[in-house]
Amino acid sequence: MSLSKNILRHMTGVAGATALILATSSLTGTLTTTARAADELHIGFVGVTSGPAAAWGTSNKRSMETRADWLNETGGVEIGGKKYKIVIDSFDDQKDPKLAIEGINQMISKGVHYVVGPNTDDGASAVRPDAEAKGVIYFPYAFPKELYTKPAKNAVLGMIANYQSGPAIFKWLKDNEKLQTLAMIAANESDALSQRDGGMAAAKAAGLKVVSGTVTYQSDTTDFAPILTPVIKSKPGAIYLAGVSPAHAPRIIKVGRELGFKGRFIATTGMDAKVLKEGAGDAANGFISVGGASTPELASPMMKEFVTRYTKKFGEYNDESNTKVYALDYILETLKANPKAMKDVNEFKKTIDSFSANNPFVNGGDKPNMKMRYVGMSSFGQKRQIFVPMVINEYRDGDFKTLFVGQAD
Amino acid sequence: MEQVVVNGLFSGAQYSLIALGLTLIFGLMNVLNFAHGQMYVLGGLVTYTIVTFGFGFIPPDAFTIFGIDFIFPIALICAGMVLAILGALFEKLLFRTVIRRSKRDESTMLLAAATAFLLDASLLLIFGEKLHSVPDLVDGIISTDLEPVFPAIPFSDSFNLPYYKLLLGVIAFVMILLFVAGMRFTRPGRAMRALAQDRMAAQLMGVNVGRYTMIGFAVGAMLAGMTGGLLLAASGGIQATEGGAKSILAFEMIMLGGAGVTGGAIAGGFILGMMQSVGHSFLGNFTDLVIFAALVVFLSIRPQGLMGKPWG
Repeated sequence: MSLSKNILRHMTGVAGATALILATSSLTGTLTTTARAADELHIGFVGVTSGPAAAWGTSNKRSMETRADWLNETGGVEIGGKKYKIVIDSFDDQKDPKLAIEGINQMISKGVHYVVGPNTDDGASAVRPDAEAKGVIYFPYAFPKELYTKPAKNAVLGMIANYQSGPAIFKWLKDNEKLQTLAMIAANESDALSQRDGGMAAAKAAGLKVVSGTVTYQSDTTDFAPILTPVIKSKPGAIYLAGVSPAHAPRIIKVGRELGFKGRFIATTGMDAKVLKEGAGDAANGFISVGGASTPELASPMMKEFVTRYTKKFGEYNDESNTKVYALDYILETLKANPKAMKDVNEFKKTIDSFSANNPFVNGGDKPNMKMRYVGMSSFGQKRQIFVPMVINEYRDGDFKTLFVGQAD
Repeated sequence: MEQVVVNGLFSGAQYSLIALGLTLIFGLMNVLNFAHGQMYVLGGLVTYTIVTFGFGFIPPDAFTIFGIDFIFPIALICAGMVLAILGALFEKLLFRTVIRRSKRDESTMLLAAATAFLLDASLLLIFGEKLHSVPDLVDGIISTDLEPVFPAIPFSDSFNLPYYKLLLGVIAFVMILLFVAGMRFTRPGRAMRALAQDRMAAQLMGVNVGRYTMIGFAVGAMLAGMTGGLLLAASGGIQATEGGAKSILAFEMIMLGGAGVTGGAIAGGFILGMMQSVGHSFLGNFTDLVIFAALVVFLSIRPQGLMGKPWG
């Protein structure tokens, strides 16, 4: 009798404890969205960190991790009177739209509602339905306008688009170097092809004649001589490498020079000076690309410290990270501006229109034209792009030199 | 047109080298080595590491003697050795065990795929995703304008060929010759050919199957590694993640030339290289479509490839 009483008492205790745990976890589940534990704020990254385009996503992920470590080292981020440790949840979508969808849903299942990425047009377009239906604000590094124009609402472009930088570069070349003809090549994949189409329109608008615009290459190509030979025979003044990945650019440039091409190579994607130097050497001199959103003149002490920390953490630095450092700060500063957005992404969207904060990564970041703010009205009809300086670089002797600095909006 | 021919020959030499190791392993063991491309990449990255960083305490410029830099050939030999050891270990520890335990052919294929994934992940972790390149072996370009010389020849124009590509082409050619001569005239080469032709008969004639299979796998892996090192210099660099694509390319060549046949791999490489070069100049973006359609039709008529045997 006494034994059964003991068992009964023990079972009652276990049941009570279980009920308490369940009730607590259910309450926690109800109250938290992005903040999963009391002191952790999870921000997601879904993008490509393997394959030929891995450099794009890797610089995103590493920038976020470096910045998060730095913020955590200084005690975390205070939002709505509460300190949070920043945790980056990463997912490699391998440049596959199906995996990008899986990645976004994985973030949703973890309660993460602010995601940086994806890095590609396909991936960013693929995640849109789930992101909008399930309440995720995402910061793609992808250019399709449909992602940012109404009725789309949850995507915020994290960089300068090719249809913003392309016209600026073509105009500069026409005005300063009397460029008249252009050829284009693109990888045979949707991102590069859509960038090529955008480039084609920009070139025509700038009054340039496109002498070769249809040549494409497979994304696993390593021998570019057969592909470039007919392009160079068309005698272009410059060659636009639409959507070119950092791994392909040096190979294309080097082979182009070996085939006798003397004009400029142009890209509207981010590049890596070290890879260009190693892969193409002096052949890359004069190569124009969209830089990370910083120049030696623009870089604030905080940007310089970021570069130092990144380099120390990963043993190398990628100029693209000058742009990619921004997304996490935009998310956190917007959450600070409206802490209700921690639980409701609609609050985040409301804040976008009026948001403004000092830009810590540029000198003079408190001036109105340099402040952190959302832009995009002229390109998308709504503010769905983060403001970063549009830095157009020229590669020369192992480094990027600033050709000119512009603004997207 | 001259440039198109030069491009085709150069691509062909590269492709032939890539396919040789794969076809050797297939011929010897009936194993489709899916990790061939990854072995190629590992060879390239070993070469890159030695050329860039030397041997830790010995810097790379210590190998410059009388103004001639010997670091690249040394790195290439080291890459071959590293891959030969890896290949021998793979054969002895993995493939031999699986072949002994499983009678199903697909078991070795699945194991090969697993080793490919393992190498892929390891290489990405160790070397990162960036393109790794080495300086050109020699400077300068041969640039010839033949149009005024042969005005009557249609499509006659100019061609440019960098000296380093010419040098690498010669090295590739010499490597192919050495490989063919080794297979034909040396005792291990003859033993491996005998194994490839008829395993049972070779065994009955006293060929040590285990030993020569391991040597064959090691030589196949060594070829992949040295090719990776060579093409690191020829194709502007190498990326840790490009192994899968290289395996597929090698499969295309042995499909065309005939699986397990050395001459077939060489022929397949040159045919594919030339088709691509001519195609890109005259068919544009339809090149790959035409090549693969032709390959499918060809294989349906001659499934054993150009030089393969239709039996066994």
